[in-house]
Amino acid sequence: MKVSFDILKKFVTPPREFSGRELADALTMSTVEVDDYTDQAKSLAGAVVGLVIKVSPHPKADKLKLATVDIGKKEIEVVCGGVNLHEGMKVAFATIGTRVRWHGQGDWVTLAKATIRGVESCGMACAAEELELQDDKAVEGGIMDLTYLEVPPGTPLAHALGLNDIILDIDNKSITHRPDLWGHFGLARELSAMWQVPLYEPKAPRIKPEIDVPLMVSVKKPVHVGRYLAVSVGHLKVAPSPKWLQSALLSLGMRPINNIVDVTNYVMLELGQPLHAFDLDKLVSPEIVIRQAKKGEKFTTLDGVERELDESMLMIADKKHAQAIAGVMGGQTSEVSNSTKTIALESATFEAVNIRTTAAKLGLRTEASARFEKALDPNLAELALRRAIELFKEICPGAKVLSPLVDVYNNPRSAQPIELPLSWLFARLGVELPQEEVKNILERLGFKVERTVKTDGGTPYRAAEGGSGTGEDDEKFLVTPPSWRATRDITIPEDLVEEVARIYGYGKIPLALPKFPIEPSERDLAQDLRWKIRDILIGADFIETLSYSFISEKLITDLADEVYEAADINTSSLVELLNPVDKIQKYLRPALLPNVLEQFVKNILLLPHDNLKVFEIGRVFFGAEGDWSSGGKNTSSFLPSQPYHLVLCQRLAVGDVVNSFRLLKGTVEQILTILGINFVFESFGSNMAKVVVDGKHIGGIGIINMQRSSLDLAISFAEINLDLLPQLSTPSIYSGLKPNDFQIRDLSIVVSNNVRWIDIESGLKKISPLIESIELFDVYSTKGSLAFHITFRSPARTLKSEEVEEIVKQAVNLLQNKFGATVRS
Amino acid sequence: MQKELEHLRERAKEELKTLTEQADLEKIKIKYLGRKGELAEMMKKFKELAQAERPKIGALLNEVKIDIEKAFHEITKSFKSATVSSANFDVTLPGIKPERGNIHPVLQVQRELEDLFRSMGFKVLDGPEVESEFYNFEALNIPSWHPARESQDTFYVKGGASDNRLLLRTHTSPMQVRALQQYGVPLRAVVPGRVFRYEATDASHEHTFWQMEGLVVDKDISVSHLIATMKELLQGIFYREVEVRLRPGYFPFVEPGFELDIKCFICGGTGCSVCKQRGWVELLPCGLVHPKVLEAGGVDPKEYSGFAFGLGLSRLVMMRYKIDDIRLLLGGDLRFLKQF
Repeated sequence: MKVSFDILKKFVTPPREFSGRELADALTMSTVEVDDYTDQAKSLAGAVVGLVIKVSPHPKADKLKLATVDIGKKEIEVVCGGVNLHEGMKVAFATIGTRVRWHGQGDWVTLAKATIRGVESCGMACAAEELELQDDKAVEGGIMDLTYLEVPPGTPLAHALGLNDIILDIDNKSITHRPDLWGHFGLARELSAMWQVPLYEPKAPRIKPEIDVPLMVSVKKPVHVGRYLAVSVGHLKVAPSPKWLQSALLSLGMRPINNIVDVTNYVMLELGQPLHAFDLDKLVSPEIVIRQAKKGEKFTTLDGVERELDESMLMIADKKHAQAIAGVMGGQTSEVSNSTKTIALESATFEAVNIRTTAAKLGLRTEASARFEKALDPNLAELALRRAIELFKEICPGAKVLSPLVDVYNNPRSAQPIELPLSWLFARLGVELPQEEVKNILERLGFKVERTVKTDGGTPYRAAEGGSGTGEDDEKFLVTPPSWRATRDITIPEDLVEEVARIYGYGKIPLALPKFPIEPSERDLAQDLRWKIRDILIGADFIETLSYSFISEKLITDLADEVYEAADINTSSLVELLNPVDKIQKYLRPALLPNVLEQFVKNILLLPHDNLKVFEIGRVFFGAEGDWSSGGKNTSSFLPSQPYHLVLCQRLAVGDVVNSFRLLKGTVEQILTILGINFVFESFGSNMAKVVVDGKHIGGIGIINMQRSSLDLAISFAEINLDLLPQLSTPSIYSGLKPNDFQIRDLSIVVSNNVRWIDIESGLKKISPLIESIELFDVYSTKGSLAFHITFRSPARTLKSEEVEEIVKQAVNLLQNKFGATVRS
Repeated sequence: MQKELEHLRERAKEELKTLTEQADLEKIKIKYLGRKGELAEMMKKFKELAQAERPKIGALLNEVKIDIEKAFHEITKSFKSATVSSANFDVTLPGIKPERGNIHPVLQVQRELEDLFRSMGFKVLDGPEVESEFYNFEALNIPSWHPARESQDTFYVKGGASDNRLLLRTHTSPMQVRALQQYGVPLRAVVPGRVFRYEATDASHEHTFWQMEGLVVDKDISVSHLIATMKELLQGIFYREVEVRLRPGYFPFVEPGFELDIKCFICGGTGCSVCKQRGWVELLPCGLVHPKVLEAGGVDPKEYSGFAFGLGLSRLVMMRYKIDDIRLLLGGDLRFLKQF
């Protein structure tokens, strides 16, 4: 919302001069966030009105001219390309040092002396957009013609154009809770409280009918109408608004339309109350009916769009036809036009939530609905109507009030007083203030403050420990909010803490750290485990990535079912978004693998010669109920299951797929071993394995073959459910030092490709308990050649060479007879 | 004896000079300096000398011993460096870095903050990403008419009850109520995590980002405590003195609510393009916990009060590493991820 300092100054006199930044800071620190501001005089500093006294051709350029410009104290020669340049013309002249924007585009630059086609130019005659000004009479390729201004050359341009205002841009999000701040008057009230200066309340005269033509109002849906005021005004002549009104609207970002509409808009900006004018002659009779819309009712709003309504929406109608969607937008039929002579002027408050819902359903947020949905002060409605009548009379001299003021005011509510125990207030603030100061701040903001004595058995809120003593613990204020804060905004004592603190100044509150007992914070095993896994993985050269939680059906089904089955991932009960940003990506990921794989393939294409290893740890989602309660009334319902998973993807640029897979498998083994988890791999499908712990299937590993950009990609992957791990993890226990007394024999064999290593290993281990371990150290899978160490050890004694040789002999026999291997050494 | 000693010194030095094999060094050392070596022999002889001779010979004996030891030390050093330099070694060859991966920048900053908060006695909690309307809105005093509830800000999820729909949490704040319900008071906790807003993405907007919620509930927690704690925390985050200011900000789950700004590090408060000429950078929303939130958490607002704050983790990461496009965080580009 744009706010003009000039208009604010009609309600409040600043105690001193304020720059744009100071004003923005003052409001930001105590009331609302000011996004930006424009200090008109400052941004036009250096620009003056110049009088062109001589124009001559440029010696070297046809399209350029030389102009001598009188700027009061001196005459300056400049090069100018304006097509409308002529002697005797008054121009917007930028002297050296003025901020300008070339052709109204790009960044602001500070004007410097320039030589244009060999002629020195000490300034510039500007087009409006070069100074970010409006120009109704702009000529294509021309400069701003200010000949109409009756000011001497050299007059500062800001002054000559009456542009001494500061325009603030207020962040609307910072006033969503404040119905009173949607107009200048409300903001001025804040400034008056802040600056401790008087507030000049607008005093528009009471409305008296001049001709007694009745206007009827019947409210069929009182629950949605707080107050409805209307009056008819006649003998109007539609015309453009006077210049002051037009430029006020323009500087606040609104387009002037005609005097009637402009007055309603101006009053809205000034006071914060939206008004609507109906062309009374277009209504079937002078009767306004406020009713609910019919289901499926069609209505064409002012913007020419036909909208379909439902029963929840409130309509302003005449006896036959709908004329406006209440609080949102008027209709075309009764729109004020050039021929309008009589209007019915509406000023109302509607039920805020209803307006909000209607605007949201129609996708039609207007200046009016933005205000009504904040719950406006019913008192403001009357003031605004009077102010509008006052302006009509000023702008259209013949205008007359035709009807008596109609005022339908359903159950006016008086604001409820709030008890404010002072010791409690000070405990919340962390500082004790003089009672008078608290009272004064609240009163400056329009609250009514009464001091009360203790009435019942104690304060409703706990007093500050060791508070002020001397019986002041019982001191309470009874605080009644003003009507403009009482609709929704201020209801509990906590709200008053904010009112006092923000005007007192947060910066003045002394700092004190809270006192806490020294106690270690509880650890969460699952979190610790995830950090531990990250540390292990970065040690293994893996890079952590993050991918989106959203996924398309195609990406899920691109992977074979086998992959999901290997990793125990349920893809049959996907969690689905109702309103995805991208319609295709409408599911929540049931596994990390598909999205990470997608990223991974892009990386391979970018970095085909690198070893790529990535991992992600994140939540996946599936339909079954998980551990988190949904809360609310139904305490037995639970949120969808959303366990943490770990995914690994790896591709080595050199070396075969088997090596890559073994390295990845080894990484998984390392993680589980460090975490103290006993696991087994169970072969599954063609090139995958399940990871099983204590009979629980916790994840899977494998190789995925993909084709992208004519490349055959073999990617090793693992995906593991981390939520199952904490309870399976056991801390390592020292098992004593093994005597350094063992023997190793190496065997090298050639064996058929369909013999699996796990069978060889377990077969060999069964030969003798003295075989401690078998470690494969070389594989040529194409030739089926394997080489491994066998370690022999007895916990009880030193082994003899002969017994080791005997076991080796048995091993060779087994390899030859059972596995058909050729033993090479 | 004097002559014998001087001769011994000469012989030892001579022998060391002609030494070529490192293996022989030890032999010579034993010969002269060993337990039964020549110097030890001299020592024995020395003990048999008459009192009058002792001071002079003793001094010489000591001197010879030191000289021989020095000679050994020198020659040992020359052998050591010779073994390396003999391979024509170029010390300017580049180092071979051990291969090592890295943690995602968001998680790096998250971990740092977790450590900081744990050191101050905060619990670190983890909440669900698919949440209910109850915890994400209602329990946080965000009534049904509040704009945040509209689908243009929130991703809704199929399922749930008509009066308690499912959604993707729009902030980490739902854990305020869950934590109060689970742990009671007094409570100090932070909640880092992934949050979602219905938003089209561009360089500075993402529908998925990271936040860290903080909550302190105890007896007599005040605005003064809030400001002081925030200042300490920010010093811990930025490793420097931080000037903060509080200004009014509206969030339904706090009352009073604030926006906390820090003085711009770049310009020191005079105004620059980073702080949009304001001199201050908006950093985090915070406030005293609304009594309705305490009630939803089963805590009596007459007995207890608290403060809460929301750190924009993704924004902190971007500020720290000067990342200019938020989409990089979830893009998975290894050329980006390898830089941290």
